[in-house]
Amino acid sequence: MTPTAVAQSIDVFRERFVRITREVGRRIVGHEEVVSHTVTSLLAGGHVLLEGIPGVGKTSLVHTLADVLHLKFSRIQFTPDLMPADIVGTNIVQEHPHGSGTFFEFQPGPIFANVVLADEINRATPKTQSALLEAMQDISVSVGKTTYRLEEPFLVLATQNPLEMEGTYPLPEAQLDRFFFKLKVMYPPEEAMHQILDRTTQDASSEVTRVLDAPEILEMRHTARSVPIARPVQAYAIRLTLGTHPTSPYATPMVKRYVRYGASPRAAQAIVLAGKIHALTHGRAFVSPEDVRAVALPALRHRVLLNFEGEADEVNPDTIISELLMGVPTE
Amino acid sequence: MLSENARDVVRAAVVAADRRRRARESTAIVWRVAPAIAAVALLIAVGHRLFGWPALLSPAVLITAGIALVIFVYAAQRPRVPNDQAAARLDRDADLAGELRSAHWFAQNGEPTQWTDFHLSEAAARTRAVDWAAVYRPVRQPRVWSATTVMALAALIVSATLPARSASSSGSASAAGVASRAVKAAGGPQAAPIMLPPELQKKLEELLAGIENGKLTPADALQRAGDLKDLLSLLAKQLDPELQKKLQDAAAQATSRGDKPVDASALAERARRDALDVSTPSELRDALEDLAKQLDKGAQTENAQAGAQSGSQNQGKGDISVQPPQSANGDAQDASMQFSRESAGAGASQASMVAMGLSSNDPNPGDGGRRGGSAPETPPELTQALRRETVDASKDTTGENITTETRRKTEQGHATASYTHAAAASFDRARSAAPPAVPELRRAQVRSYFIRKQ
Repeated sequence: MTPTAVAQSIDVFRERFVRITREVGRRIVGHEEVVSHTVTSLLAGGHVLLEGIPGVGKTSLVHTLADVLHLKFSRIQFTPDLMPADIVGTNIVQEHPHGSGTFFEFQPGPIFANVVLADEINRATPKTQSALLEAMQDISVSVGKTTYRLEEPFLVLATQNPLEMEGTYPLPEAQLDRFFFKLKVMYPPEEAMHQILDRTTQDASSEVTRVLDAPEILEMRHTARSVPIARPVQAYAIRLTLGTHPTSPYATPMVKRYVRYGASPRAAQAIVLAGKIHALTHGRAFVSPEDVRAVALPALRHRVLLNFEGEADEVNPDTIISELLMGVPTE
Repeated sequence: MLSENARDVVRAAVVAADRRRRARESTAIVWRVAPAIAAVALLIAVGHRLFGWPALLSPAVLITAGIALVIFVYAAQRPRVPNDQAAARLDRDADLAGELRSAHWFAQNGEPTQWTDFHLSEAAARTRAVDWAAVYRPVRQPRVWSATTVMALAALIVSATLPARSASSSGSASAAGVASRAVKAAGGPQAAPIMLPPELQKKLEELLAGIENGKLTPADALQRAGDLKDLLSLLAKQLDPELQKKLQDAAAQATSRGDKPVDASALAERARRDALDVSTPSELRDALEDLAKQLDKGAQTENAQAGAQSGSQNQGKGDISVQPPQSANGDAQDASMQFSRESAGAGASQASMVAMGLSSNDPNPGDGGRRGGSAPETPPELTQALRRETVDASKDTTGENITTETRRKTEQGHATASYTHAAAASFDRARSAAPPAVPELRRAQVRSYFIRKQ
């Protein structure tokens, strides 16, 4: 690959990224950053946990993304009685067509798709939630003695409601850590509300077109991983990750006071990978500390486990990470 | 090839920019420190002027600081391989969004790949486009430069030209003390020692040696007392200023020949020490004291003349003038000195002090008990009286002075104090605060609480 080819790869990556976000933006209004981070997760091979109050467009966002991408989409509505087999699939008894006996045949569950919407994931039991662990980490599911490989790109978009916590099962730390980003879908601003009403209360529906297919997404993933990152910048990402641990020398006062456990190495992986994509979307072939800072918050906020004092004081992990971003030096 | 070129360009650009940055920072530090150093040097020079600090201290501070700053600037601008922090600073100052920092690391460490080559070539192109001279403009601070130069020159001028002056030259200070210190600080003539003719000096030394040996019979004592009287009469003649001047010239010639003249004040001190010896007959002790007193008077008169002469010499330079004694004819009893000092604010007002009579024996009249300089400043009469008291007190301890013992016993009474009633009239109401009044409604309760019913 010549420098010209590299430059061309960057341009192509950037153009495709802009095309996805622009197309999603035709239907989703006022959530540009959420859309950008969701696409970043898709291109990094990660999964996204969307948190927001009902009605702000979480599910619509996932639907739109699946429509824009030429990918197989499935939706799982998590309920307390949902079983793991309802997600991954099960073996069922089938009769041979010619009546020569029966046999077990695997019936794939909704997890066998490229984009999986796990709606209200915290309403299912931990047992069912854990059915996603293998799929999210290894892109495969095991049923009985057989392991089935999932089709790439594989993206889980889970949503949860922070208000209605009664009768819910908070996600365990192991599950949370497997999400690349945790994105907060905030209430749209007033101007965006006008656009939402215009698009949803009139006869004309806003149609989106499919702009990318799976091979193009995989190519973009490859491009993203090719971006070099200098060791000092990588060290900054590591310092940020270590700074979430209360015993770390980079820990800030809030971390020392309110945090029980900090982020895992998966957080550093997410920061570096998302930083590379952030650099590419800005037309750069290198990762700068600013790229790291831009993606640190969604990559760390769900990986910081508060202690009792933090829970009692209702400390927001975003505040802790913001202080961390200000306290940890870039050099 | 492209990679190597880009690497070299990035490396060279970072090295050059870092050197420029360090030069600018070191220059900025120099301009921040230099005025302070010049100000300190100026203060030291003023201290030399006011407090008599060494004149070379201020130039030494300037030269040392200048050398240190030159070394600092040279060391700061030496070429060196920049580290990541330096590259990050350059990147931030040039607003390169982390590209130079990243490229600098890959230029030194990274494995060459197509992506790093592309990154380095892009960074090299952007680095070439940066006007580093505009990013790190030379520090030009004409005001600071002017202020530093003025202060440094002022420090040098004050140190080199103006003479030192004592800080205690205020109106409350003794004029005599001022004169003495001014003469010393200006490096003027020191107090001229009383010079004795060799014969007289030899006789004095023999006499004092004989007394100190302690082998005196009453006859010898009388004999030596007579000799002392003769010496005193000789010494009175020696106090003539004209004769003293001749003697000093002769002493100077003797010094040039290698002979060491003896100061009369040393002999006076020796005679005074011998007079304190209680084993010496009282007549001889009195005679020794008279001899020491005569020698002291001669020394004081000469010193006052020397100080007054040097003060007159300094009149044109400083604002202190010391007038010579009104009658400098060698008689210390009539010596008087007048000192005048121009006031710093008015410039025209003068303060004068005249000492007459017995107190004219004090070379520093009005000194208020402060003593300074090498001239003897205790009045001889006071010294003699003190010495007699000391001798008498030593006799008292032996218990031989019956009257003193009796007086002491009489004065050692036993006091007893007693009183029967407190005098209400002596109570000073102005110095006391009355307690708050008891409320009207509670007075009956208070009264019943404190006053028991009989």
